[in-house]
This record gives sequence, structure tokens and C-alpha cells, in this order.
Amino acid sequence: MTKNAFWNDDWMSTQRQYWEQWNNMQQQALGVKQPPANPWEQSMEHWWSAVQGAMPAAKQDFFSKMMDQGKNYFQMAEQAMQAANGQENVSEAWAKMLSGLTESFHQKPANDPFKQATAFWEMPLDNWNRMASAMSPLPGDTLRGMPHGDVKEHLDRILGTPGLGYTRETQTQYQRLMQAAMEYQEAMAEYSLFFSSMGEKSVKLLQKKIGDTPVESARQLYDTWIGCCEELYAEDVISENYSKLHGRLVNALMELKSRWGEIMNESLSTMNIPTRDDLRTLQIRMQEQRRENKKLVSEVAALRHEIRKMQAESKPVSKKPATKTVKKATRKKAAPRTRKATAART
Amino acid sequence: MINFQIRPDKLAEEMADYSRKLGHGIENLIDAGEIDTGVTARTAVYKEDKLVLYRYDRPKGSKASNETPLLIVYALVNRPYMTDIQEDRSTIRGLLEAGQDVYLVDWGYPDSSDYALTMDDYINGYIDRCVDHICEQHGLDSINVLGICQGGTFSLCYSSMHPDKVRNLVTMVTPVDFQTPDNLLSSWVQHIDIDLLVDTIGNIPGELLNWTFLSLKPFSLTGQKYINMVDVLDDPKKVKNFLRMEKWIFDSPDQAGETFRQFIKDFYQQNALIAGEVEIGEHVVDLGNITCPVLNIYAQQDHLVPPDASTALGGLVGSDDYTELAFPGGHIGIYVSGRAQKEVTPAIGEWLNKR
Repeated sequence: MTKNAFWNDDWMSTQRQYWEQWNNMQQQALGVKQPPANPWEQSMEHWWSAVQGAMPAAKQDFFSKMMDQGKNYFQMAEQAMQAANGQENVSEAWAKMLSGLTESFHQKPANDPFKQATAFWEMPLDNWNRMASAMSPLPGDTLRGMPHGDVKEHLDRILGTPGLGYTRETQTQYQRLMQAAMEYQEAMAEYSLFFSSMGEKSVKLLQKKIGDTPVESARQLYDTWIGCCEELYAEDVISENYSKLHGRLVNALMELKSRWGEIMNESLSTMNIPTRDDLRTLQIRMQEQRRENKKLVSEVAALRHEIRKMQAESKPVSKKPATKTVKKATRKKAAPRTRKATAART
Repeated sequence: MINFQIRPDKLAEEMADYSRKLGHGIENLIDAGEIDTGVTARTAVYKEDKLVLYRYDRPKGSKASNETPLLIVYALVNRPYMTDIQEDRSTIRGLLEAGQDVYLVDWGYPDSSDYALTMDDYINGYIDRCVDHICEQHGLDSINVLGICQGGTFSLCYSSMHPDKVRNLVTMVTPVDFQTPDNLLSSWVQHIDIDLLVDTIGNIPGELLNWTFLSLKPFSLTGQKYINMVDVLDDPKKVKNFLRMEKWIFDSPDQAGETFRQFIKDFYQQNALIAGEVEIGEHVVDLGNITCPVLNIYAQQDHLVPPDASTALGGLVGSDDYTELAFPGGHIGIYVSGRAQKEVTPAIGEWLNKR
């Protein structure tokens, strides 16, 4: 791979196209034509898809994060400029754009022009989904689209029906699994709602902050936006309400995993394969034995030490100067060292 | 009225600049190669299970001015190479230069066979045997101990249960009162069913811990940080330093299930350490048992262990020689910032050398 391969050709070419798009945008101010929705992002995507194959796998994740944030960085400025395009009063257009953004937190239609800016507020959720996926046999977002509301109530009733007949236990297990899945989905929905309401407040705070200070660069806008988000986030997530939502989400995921594990254990048992519960019992027993062994080894060492000490004390005192061995045994602090002696004090 | 003054040509210039830095930077990123961590030469002097006790080599020709060795007890969370992350940012190196004979406990990466390790195993088992080993090697009854974060809490418990083996105790960014009003981590775990969590997944995966720590400041830590990174991408040295820190952040060992269960339930949910109600093995942990000199160092902008969570120690230890040192920085900056190299490690060395 050559050094130029990554940026001189492909990417800068798409960047040139981007500047042309900007020219188009200016022309559009004269009523000539409509520019694409997010030209910079499109060119960035194009470049990234071309070069990522050549990047070592270990570095891809890191660079992807920078790419993702780069998109966020310019998104608001780009949308603001588009909103302002053709307007005589840029500030008024900007205010209008922020109103649109606030509205986006209430409803997200497919063609919402502010969809990506509001998605910025899904970062905490996205982090959760990645983590949940890593811990689950199912992709993290599998349960996000499950039915809720009235449908859930109806399903709850059905799933609450006692099992019957020979497969009663199995039926009950699957019913519990479904109930746990629905609880997780509901907890996830509640958690998402919390963030969407926080996002709305962050737009208002941003409006307030940039009302006082002139915004002169995309970076200043981005940093102010981050500052607003962190400020509100810090205020809201320390609340008892959030603590409960957070607890509910983690507990719901664990309940779901636990139910799933129950079914897995059942299946493994029927195949005479050791289950996780079996392994857990062995782990605990093994550690108990190791603990006992280590304690015994320590006690034997302490006893040997005492015996050596007693033997040394019973020998006649030598007139020779102290040997190196004796010097090494000298203690700087006279304090009992045996575990028994320590335990008696505490 | 909103004062929006971004001109299209200025915005275009910003974008070009960002694109240029990103394009150039990718070369430095690829050329960064392997990310090395832990820069000071050391020797493994004791091993047990996954634990390795290291003794750090002194610079050639120099001798430790303090004859009492110093054992660093790091947290189970994340890896201890944070204390020795790069040549010019190393707490270990600073301590060696301050005349200390430095040992460090590396806990390794617990796996499912370590699930049943308890706090008793870690503190009255592993730590105690490390201390015994060092005492034996140096012909001493007691040594100096420096505990970091959760390792500081473990060191407090150890010092309370084995007061005769700790000559001086230094705690750094150590939680003691786990329920101060500004403690986000504490707030978040209050409604989690820890028994269900541990019974279900056994060891606690590093991913769960990463998510928790990133969630403390999600927009800065998963967003803005990477934008800021683009500004330094053209400097290979800075890229490497950044990647080194990035490696450390995501290098989270799993947590032994039973230890995690007790730590979260007793310390975070019950706040039992300050109440003197923590039971570890056959002992009840009473901080009043700690009568040796104590140096408690905390970071004023710590978002993981708020200052009040650390300074609570002052009213609880039985020592007549208790000193606090406030560092104007954060939980990580206290090890890696330039200021920490100049202020924190020399202060620890001076304090220990006087005792």
C-alpha cells in the first residue's frame, strides 16, 4: 500500500466534489437547484468504504469512532446552513432549525431532516446495545421492535396461563422466557424515552447558550452542543428516577439471560452434558478446597518457623559476632505475625 | 436572538482542514505499530495462580534510600500498567526516583475458574502472602503499602485486619464512603439486583464495566474525544500516546463473580465500610484498627471517586498521623498528567522517607 493511497486521490477527489456541492448550495440561494441532503457525510462514507479494507483490523474500530464523530461534528452546522440557505436572516433560520430539532425528539418520521442530529442522543443507548449484544446470544436490538402497550398486556395474560400435561415444566419455562423478554423490551423503551426527553432539553439549553455568545465555527457549535448534553446528562442521571430505570434495565436483561440459561441447562442435561450450574458447584467446591489447602500450608510454614525459632533459642549462646542469617531474621518492628495472633486482635 | 455567524466559506475551510488531518492521520495511525505499555524494567518475584508480584528495577547505580519496601495494590478493575504507562508519565518511575523500593501486585485476567474467589481470598490470601513474601525477603515484620482506587479500599481492609504488617499506608483516589451524593457509580448500582446479576453471568465481563465507565460522560468519552484526537493525528508521538491510553481504557479484565458480589453489595449498596460492618473471612473490618501513619491522596475533579468519598477516611482511621493531599486533577490525571509527575510521586516519597 502506498502512503498516498489513503487520502491524496480518492478522498480528496470526493472532497472536491463536496466543495462543488457547496457552490451548488450557494447557487440554490439564487433558486437554481436543490443540493443533496448531507454531501460531506456522503463523501466521507464513500472514502471510508474504499479505504477501510486496507486498514489493519485492530485499528478499524478506533478509526470508525473518529469517522462517526466527524459526521456528528459537521451535521448540525450543515443542517443549519441548509436551513439558512436563501434566508435573509441567518439567525432566524437557525432558530427555526433548533425548533425543528426539538420537534424531532417528539416524533421521528422516516424523512425527518434532523433524524441524525437527534440520533446523537442515542449514544448512551448505543453503548448499552453493544454491551448487551456482547453478553447475549441474540443481537442487542432484537428485542427493540417487540410489541408493547396493549399487545403486551394481552400477551401477559396468555403467558400467565398455567401449563398443562406432560410438557407442563417446559411450557412454563418458555412462558417465563417470553415474559422476561417483554419486560426487557419495556425497560428498554422506558430507558430510551428518558434519553429522548433529555435530548429535547439539551436543544433548549443550546439555544440559551448560543444566544449569549456568537457562534463562529462548526467546532465551537459542536463543543457547545457536547457541553450542553453533558451538563444535562450529569444532572439527570444522578436522580433517583434514573437509578431506578438503570436498575430495571440491567435486572430485566439479567432475568432474560437467566431464563434463557434455564432452558439451555435443561437441554444440556437431557444430553448428559454438564451444565453451567454443575460447573458453578464445582468451582465453589474447588475454591473451598484450595482455600483450606493454602491455609494449611501457611500454618505448617508458621509452625516450622516457630520450631526453628525455639531450636535457635535452646542453643547455647555463641561468643562469635552475629552471623548474616541472624541479622536477616532481625525484625524492625516487634509484632506477632501469626494469623491466629492477628485474628485475636481484630 | 441567536447570534449565528458561521460563514459558508469558513465552514468549508473547517471541513477541508478536518478532512486533511484525518487523511494524513490515518497513515500515522497505521504506522503506530504495536502499542507498548509498562516501561520500567521489572522482575517477577512471586507467582500464585494468575497473580504476579513484580519488583521494579532501580536505575543503575542508585540505591533505595527508604529501606522499607513499598507494595502497590492496584484495583481489580483495569490493568495496573496505568501506573507505568509511558516513559515520561510513570508513577512507578517517580517512586523509584523518590528512593522507594517498589513492588506491584498484578492480578492478571480472571477467567471462569476464578469465579469463586472471594474478597477474603484476595485480601487475606493473595495480598497477605505477597506481604509475607516481601517481609521475608527483606527481613522485616512490616512494609509500606500504597493502594490505588479499589486497591486502596482493599489496602484499608488489609491494614485493619493485619495492622502489624503495614508500617505506613498510602491511599490514592480510594473510595471509603460509597454513598456521597455526587457518586454516580453508587447511584447507578443501588437498584441493581446483584445476586441475580452474579448468579446469571458468573464473572462480570469487562464489557459491562467499560459501558459503565463510558456512561459516566458518554458524549465526551465516546464522541468529543475522537474529534479532539483528529487535531493531534499529525503527530506520531501523540497518536501513540493516545492509542496507549485507549488500550488501557478498554483493557478491562473480567471480575471474579463472588468478589464483585460482596464488593458491590457490602460497600456500594450497604456502605458497610464506614459503619464498620464489613465481614471478610473471619474478620470484621474496623478502620479504627489502622493506627499506622496514613497519607490519603485524592483528586479534586475525580468523577469516579468524588473527593468526599475519599476524605471520609480522616474521621475513621485510628491513626494519630493522618495526612491528606488534594491533587487538582481527575481520577486518571493523578497518574498520567505532567503535574502529577512533579507533585504527587515526590510528595509520596518525601512522606514515606520521613516515617
